[in-house]
Amino acid sequence: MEKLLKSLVVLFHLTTIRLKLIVGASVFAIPTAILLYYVVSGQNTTIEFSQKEIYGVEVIEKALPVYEFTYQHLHLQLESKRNPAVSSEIPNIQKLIDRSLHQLSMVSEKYENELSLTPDALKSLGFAEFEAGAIKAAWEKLRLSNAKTHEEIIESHQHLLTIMQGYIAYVGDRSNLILDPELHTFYLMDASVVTLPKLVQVLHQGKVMGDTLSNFRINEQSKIQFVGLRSTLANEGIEKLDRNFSIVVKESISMFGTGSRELVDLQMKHNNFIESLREMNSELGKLTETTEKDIDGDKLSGLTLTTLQRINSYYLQTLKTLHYYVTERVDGYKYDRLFALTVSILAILLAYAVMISLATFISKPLAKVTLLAQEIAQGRVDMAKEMLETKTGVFDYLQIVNPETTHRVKDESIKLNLAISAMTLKLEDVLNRIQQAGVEVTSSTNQITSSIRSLEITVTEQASSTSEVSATSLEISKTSEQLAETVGAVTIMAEEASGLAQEGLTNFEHVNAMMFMMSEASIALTDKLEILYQKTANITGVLSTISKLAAQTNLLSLNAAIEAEKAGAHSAGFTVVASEIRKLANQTAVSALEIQTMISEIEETINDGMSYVRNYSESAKDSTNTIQSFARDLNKIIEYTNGLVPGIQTVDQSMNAQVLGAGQISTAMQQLNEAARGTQDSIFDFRTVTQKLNAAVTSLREVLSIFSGK
Amino acid sequence: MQALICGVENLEFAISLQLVHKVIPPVKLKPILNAPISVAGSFLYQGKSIPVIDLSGLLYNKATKIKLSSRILLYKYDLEGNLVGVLSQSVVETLSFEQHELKAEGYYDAANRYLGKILIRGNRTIGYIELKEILTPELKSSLFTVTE
Repeated sequence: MEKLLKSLVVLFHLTTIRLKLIVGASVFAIPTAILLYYVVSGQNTTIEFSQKEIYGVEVIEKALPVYEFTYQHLHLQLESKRNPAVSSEIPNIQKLIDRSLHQLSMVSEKYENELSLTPDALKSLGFAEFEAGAIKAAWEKLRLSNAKTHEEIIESHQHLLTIMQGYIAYVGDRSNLILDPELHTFYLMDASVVTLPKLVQVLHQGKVMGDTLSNFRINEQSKIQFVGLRSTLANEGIEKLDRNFSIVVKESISMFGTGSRELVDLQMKHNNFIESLREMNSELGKLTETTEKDIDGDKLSGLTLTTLQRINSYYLQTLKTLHYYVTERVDGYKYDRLFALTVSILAILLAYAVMISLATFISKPLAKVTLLAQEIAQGRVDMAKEMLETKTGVFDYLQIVNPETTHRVKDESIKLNLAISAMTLKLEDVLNRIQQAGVEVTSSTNQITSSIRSLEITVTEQASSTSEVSATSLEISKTSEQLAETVGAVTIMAEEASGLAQEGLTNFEHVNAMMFMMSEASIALTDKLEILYQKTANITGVLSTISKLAAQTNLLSLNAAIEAEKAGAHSAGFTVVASEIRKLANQTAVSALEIQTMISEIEETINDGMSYVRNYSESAKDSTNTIQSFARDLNKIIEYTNGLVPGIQTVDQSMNAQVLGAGQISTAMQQLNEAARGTQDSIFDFRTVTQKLNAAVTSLREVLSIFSGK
Repeated sequence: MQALICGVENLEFAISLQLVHKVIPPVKLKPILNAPISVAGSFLYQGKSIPVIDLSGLLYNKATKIKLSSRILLYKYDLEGNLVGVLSQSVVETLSFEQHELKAEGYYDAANRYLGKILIRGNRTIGYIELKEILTPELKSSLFTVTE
């Protein structure tokens, strides 16, 4: 049970609203169809009911001649007793009876199922004598009977007449004639099944009596019979029949307007019949009141014959009229049935058409909205917008923008459609704006973050480097100062050397001029040369100091370069300065090396000079050429020494520049250090803020990424 | 990037400044007995004994001739800041270079991974010494057995 419910719910989920509405309409149509079925089957029953009446009337129409001809057969047989010439007509009447019986059996066979005239049905109901074979057998028995007396003849006919009377009553019962629902047909039926057969019987009895009267005299017994006949005719015939007939006429006219042709004929025949009955009754009245013994029965017999003829005609017309009315009714019922069926089916079809169009009106906008909502749910807002722009539903996309038409809409599905469409457009717009803003903010924050990181690293390194650089610069400054001092001393010494050389040259010139006079002076010269040698030795010592200082400067500049490398790109300027210092130091070293070379040459020259002087001292006479060459050597010394001074001055200038540069570096580094600390603090704060911003933007982009497409 | 130019015999070698902690003058080194020729000795620096690798000994199997331009490069070989010295014959200049300028020399010795790359400056071919590879596993083990 639960499973069934679940699968039913699933089925509900799997069908569209339109289908559900149509199914609902179909379900609603089922009881209507059932109702229609019962109505139609009720009508069918009614039609069948009335149809049976028609069958009954047709059968009675065929039974009536048998009944009538049997009576005529009786009358002829009775007549033939008095008048043998009449007996020649008997075979004709017998033929008529045969034919009538044949027709009756045909028609009863035709409706035997509807009117329960099959042998089995008749047997089971206890009416075996109404079977066609049985009737025929009764007739054969009557034909072959050899009745002689008046009573015997009546007796022999009585059996068949009773059967036919019962037969007519049976058919009337079976064909629902006595249950007829309408007054006019009810009374017509009553007349044809009850009253008229009875009257026919009574009239034939009356004829028999009339025929008898012409042979016998009237007596008290006959009078009593006449009174009975008269009262029957008056009650059953004149009074009842006339009253019933007037109702038939009234009802027919009230139902069908002017009476039908059948009714007019019937009325005429009725009036004739009633007139005959009245005449007959007045004749019967005379007969019962007469005191004469000898009376003429011929008049009564003739009246009876006329009345019988009229009743036959009347009877047939009654049946005809009944047949006509019942047929009319059946046709009416059939027409009603057709009309009811047509109208009902048309109504159901119309209801279906209305229901389907309603379902379409509801489901179409809903389907559109569903598609839109699915697209939005998937995050494809741009797709949803595209759908809105390209597909036109119940309402055109452009009409959404027009507020003139939208506020009048009452349909919830279309309202929903409008709302979702407007929402989609707005959502798309908002998403676009947010996305643009998000992308801009993200790129900005990323840039900021990366800048901050690099800046931070740089500043941190800078801060540590600058302090070391600062210390290094101070060292350089000190060293440079020392170097400058030393170089100053060197300059003085060089100048001194130059002066001494000049002096030497002058002395040599004196020697040259006064060669001979200066043999003693050569000793002094030797002394001077020795002093010069010592001075040059001093210069060598100073140069070694310069070289060491230059090496140290070089070392410091290398370390400065290392620190600058650690400080990174921001200390590129400092690297250049360190490099410049290193170059100066290298130049200093190179200059010192050159001086060293020169000093070595000077020393060699002095040694040579001294050996010359010694030779001169030892030799009594020195050649002028030797002295000249010596003088040339001395000139060289002077040249070299003079050349030395500008070099040393260059060193001195470089040293001063170094001192100045190092001092500037030191100051700049201190300032840089302070600035870097400040920057570091603010960068830290800024980084915290940027991280928060970045996190916020990331979450925003995650949310937005759900709505793909852009 | 900056590199120090170390002259050893007639060749020049570049050492990136990034890993050099400091350059100091060639102080007097205490010889380490039984040490290979690639170890020049040790000296006290900031209260610690620092072992010194002899670059000439390492490269030429020949002890460095100390000159005025000779230097000891101090190199932090681990994260704790422990130092090792590298004695080079002549260190007086620096050189700017970019990483992509380093070329393969054409021969690569897996046992001495500090060598193998060169820098070309005009007609100068400068060998590049990868300082962080200079402590070969056996050298490292022998040095630190000594210092600890």
